[in-house]
Amino acid sequence: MKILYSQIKELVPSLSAAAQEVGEALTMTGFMMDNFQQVVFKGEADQLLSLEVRQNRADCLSVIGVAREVAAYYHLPLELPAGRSFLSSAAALPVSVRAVEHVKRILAVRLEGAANGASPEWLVSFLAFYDINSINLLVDLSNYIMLYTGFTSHLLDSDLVEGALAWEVNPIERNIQTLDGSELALTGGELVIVDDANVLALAGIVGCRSAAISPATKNLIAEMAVYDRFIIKQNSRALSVVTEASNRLSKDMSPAAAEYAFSLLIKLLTQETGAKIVGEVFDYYPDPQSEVVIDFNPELPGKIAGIDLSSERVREILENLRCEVEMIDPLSWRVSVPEDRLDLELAEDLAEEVIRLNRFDRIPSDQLPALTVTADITPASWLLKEKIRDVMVAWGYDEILSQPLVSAELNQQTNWIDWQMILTQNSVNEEFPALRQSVGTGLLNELAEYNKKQVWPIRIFEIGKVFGRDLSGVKELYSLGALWTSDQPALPAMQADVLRLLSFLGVTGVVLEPLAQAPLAANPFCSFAIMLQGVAFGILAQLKPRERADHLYYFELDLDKVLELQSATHSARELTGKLVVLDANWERPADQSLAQELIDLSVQAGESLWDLSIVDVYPLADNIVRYTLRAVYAELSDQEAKQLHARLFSLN
Amino acid sequence: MTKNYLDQFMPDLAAARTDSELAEVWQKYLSKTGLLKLAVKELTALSVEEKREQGPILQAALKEAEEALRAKREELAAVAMQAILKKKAEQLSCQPIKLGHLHPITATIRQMNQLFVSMGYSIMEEREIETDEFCFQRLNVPSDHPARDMQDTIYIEEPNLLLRTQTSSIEARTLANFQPPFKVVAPGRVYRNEKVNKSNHFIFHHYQGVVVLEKTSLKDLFGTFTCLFKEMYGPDVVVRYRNKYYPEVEPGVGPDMQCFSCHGDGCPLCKGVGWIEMGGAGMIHPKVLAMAGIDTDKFSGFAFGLGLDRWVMAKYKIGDIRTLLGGNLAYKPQKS
Repeated sequence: MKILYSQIKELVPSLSAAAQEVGEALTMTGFMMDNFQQVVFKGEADQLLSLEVRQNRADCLSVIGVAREVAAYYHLPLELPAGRSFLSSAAALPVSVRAVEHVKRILAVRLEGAANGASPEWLVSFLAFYDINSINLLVDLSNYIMLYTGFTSHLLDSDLVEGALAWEVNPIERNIQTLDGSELALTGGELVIVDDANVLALAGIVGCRSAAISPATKNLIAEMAVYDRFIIKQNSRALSVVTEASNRLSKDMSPAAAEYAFSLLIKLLTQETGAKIVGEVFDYYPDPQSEVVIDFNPELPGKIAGIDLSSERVREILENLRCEVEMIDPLSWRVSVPEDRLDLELAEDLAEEVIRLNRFDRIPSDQLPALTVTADITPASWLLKEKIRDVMVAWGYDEILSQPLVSAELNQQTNWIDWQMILTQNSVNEEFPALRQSVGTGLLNELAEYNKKQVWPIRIFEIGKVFGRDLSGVKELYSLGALWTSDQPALPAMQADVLRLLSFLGVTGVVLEPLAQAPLAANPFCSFAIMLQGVAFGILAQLKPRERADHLYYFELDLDKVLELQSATHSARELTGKLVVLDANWERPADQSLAQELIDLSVQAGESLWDLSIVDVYPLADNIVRYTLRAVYAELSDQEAKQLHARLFSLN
Repeated sequence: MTKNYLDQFMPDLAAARTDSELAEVWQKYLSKTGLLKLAVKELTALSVEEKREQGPILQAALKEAEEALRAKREELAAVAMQAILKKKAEQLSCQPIKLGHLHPITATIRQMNQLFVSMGYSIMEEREIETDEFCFQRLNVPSDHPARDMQDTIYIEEPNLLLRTQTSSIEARTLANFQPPFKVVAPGRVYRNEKVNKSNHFIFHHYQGVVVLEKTSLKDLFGTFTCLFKEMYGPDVVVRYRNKYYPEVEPGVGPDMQCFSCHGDGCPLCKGVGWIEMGGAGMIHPKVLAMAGIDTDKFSGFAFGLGLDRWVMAKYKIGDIRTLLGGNLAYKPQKS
């Protein structure tokens, strides 16, 4: 919202603060000044303030609204111009309202004998500050009132209106031509103003060529309406038409406050064009706005701000804001809210008003809050990821982050989980329609980019969410992916990284099984599922050669599963006797995994087994391997340890 | 006789520079056929009185020689180890060990987490595919509220599910899932339906904070925020707090930091206003607390949200936001 300093002074004549100071005060109280310009208006030096208006303060999308804020802040009287008084009735004009659910109030009047023509210089230059071109005097005055009061009006050449006016929901598909000559294709469902023959306006958004005001217009109908904001917003977005009018009417506007704005409109139209009012003003207002009265404890603003605010100061600010304060007792007030302040509904709303006009910079900002001890509710998954990052970085991996929206093709290259891809409905980035199913998507993209830039060799990882849908619905889980390029075969080295990492995380007994269905990017003969207790929770694979990499390795782990599989054996234990160390030999076929046997043995040994490891591997004839296992026993005598050892390894 | 051998032994030992030279000294004097050992054997040919006289002298000489040899062996081993270490150090300095790096976003999050954990906060995380209820409605942003104008949402092909547009959804989940009092921070990734270019991305990173206690206030929020700014930008940072509108809080707060480029005079970086907007904050709206079933007579809270990407871009002098999510972000190797 732009506003001239001279206009603020006109409405707040006793204002002594300079324009820049006013802008800074407005900034601190919720209307940030994002531009400040020296300009000339009506032949005199002036200043133009450009303010950001809060979403819930449609009342401040106007000169009057901003001036009210300034008056309230500086505790100064506001002098509003008087409008033209009028009598009204619901039968003053032949108007029918068929879209009753969308129309809150319509004020309309017939005027005759207007002398339309070019606008005076001050009006033309005023509108130019808002990037509004001058059209003719009648149209310009309508726009001026919109900027001045925040309420939009619409003028129709009454000699061109065929029959009666009606507000209705457009029932059919049809094209309309707007005032600037643009064609709009209506599809049905739009709120429109029509006569017996034509669409006269897309209500609250833009007027049409039919019955438009021209320089020759002498007789007119002026209407000002307040609508249900949702229909205006919906129509505006659907048709991609955003105007000064739609910007205002797609927010909450006060139907009660429209009356004063309309009185100013007809005063200006009659004064400036010589037009005469014919009959009474038509007023459709089926559900008058209720007065808002809020029960209020004057201690609330101080409590929320954390400072002392006296009742006198609280009352002063509320009254500056035009609230009426009735004191029931010192801590119980009833506060009546001005009709244009639709944002004020609760006691907390009033408290915010008091705090902001008292200024936030009166609240100390250099005091740390007193320490209140609260329970640590950090999830274990967070700690797990942080630990993994530390390990990966210590091993020379660089962390990357990549975008989770990817192409469907890239998902097919990297997905290793049995689930379906999730697509977006409405992404503006058509080339990335799918949520990634593997963090491999980002790692492969990074590989390509690094290759272009000759960044080599590559050892990167990413921890992030991956997404998919299965029979249970939409799922998302945390995943760790790592990619490694090498000058020589290095799958065993990466395997060692995976197993060491899992071991650090408390996941032992992991086995690798050939992957039944490898991702497209992987070498199908060199892809393995990472498994524990029959559950696959990761993949280790050599990828097909790409970019400059002949030896390209990749692993990915489902961290949600890792969290579930972490054993709880990392507890401290009191050791009261010496450990007993005993060895035993196993002979097994070379291609037989020992993992399950070792797990079973550990379970069988129970708490007495302190440690179990393979200390030697020796190949024998006939593809047989001799493993030397070292078992360490705790809290057992030598004799007891030997007996247990003999039983576990069947040594008798 | 023995003294003569010892007088010969000591210079020979001192002259030894290698293990093999040391072995030669041992062979000459202390092996079975060594001069000192032979001297001990020759004692048997002496009379009892001579043995009583010469025996202790010879044994003492032998012990002295063996200890000197042991000391020399340790000295040579230490010298050899020093040479190995020196050579290894030279090799390492020529071919440095590959260091891994955390992503700048992660590094920044850790710096912030460290501060908040030291103040007793927990760290929270939540789903990225959200429901309309937790992304908007429970934050006082009903589906038809004008605040929706500020953000365009990416919906997935699943009824009522979307990609979270803000980490405030973590706030809504935390309020619903945990009994106050609590203090949490929640870093996370958020999605907006925007075209990707140098300045905008459809994915960026937020840092959310939520505090619900029996007694808290704007003063606590400001104190916390100022502490955060000082941690991130140093003790001389200048911060101001102004009123701003966010539907989930009341009062809403816009924290601004004085532009570090122009120090408040106005420049292109701060668009001429002298201040840089650093996020949003405020006291949690009583409707938001009530929707989570929290007793608003007993508890109140504050919340804040910061965009991390621009902080990180400024800190690492990154000019294109796309760099943060792959492609152009590379880590410099350690120089030798």
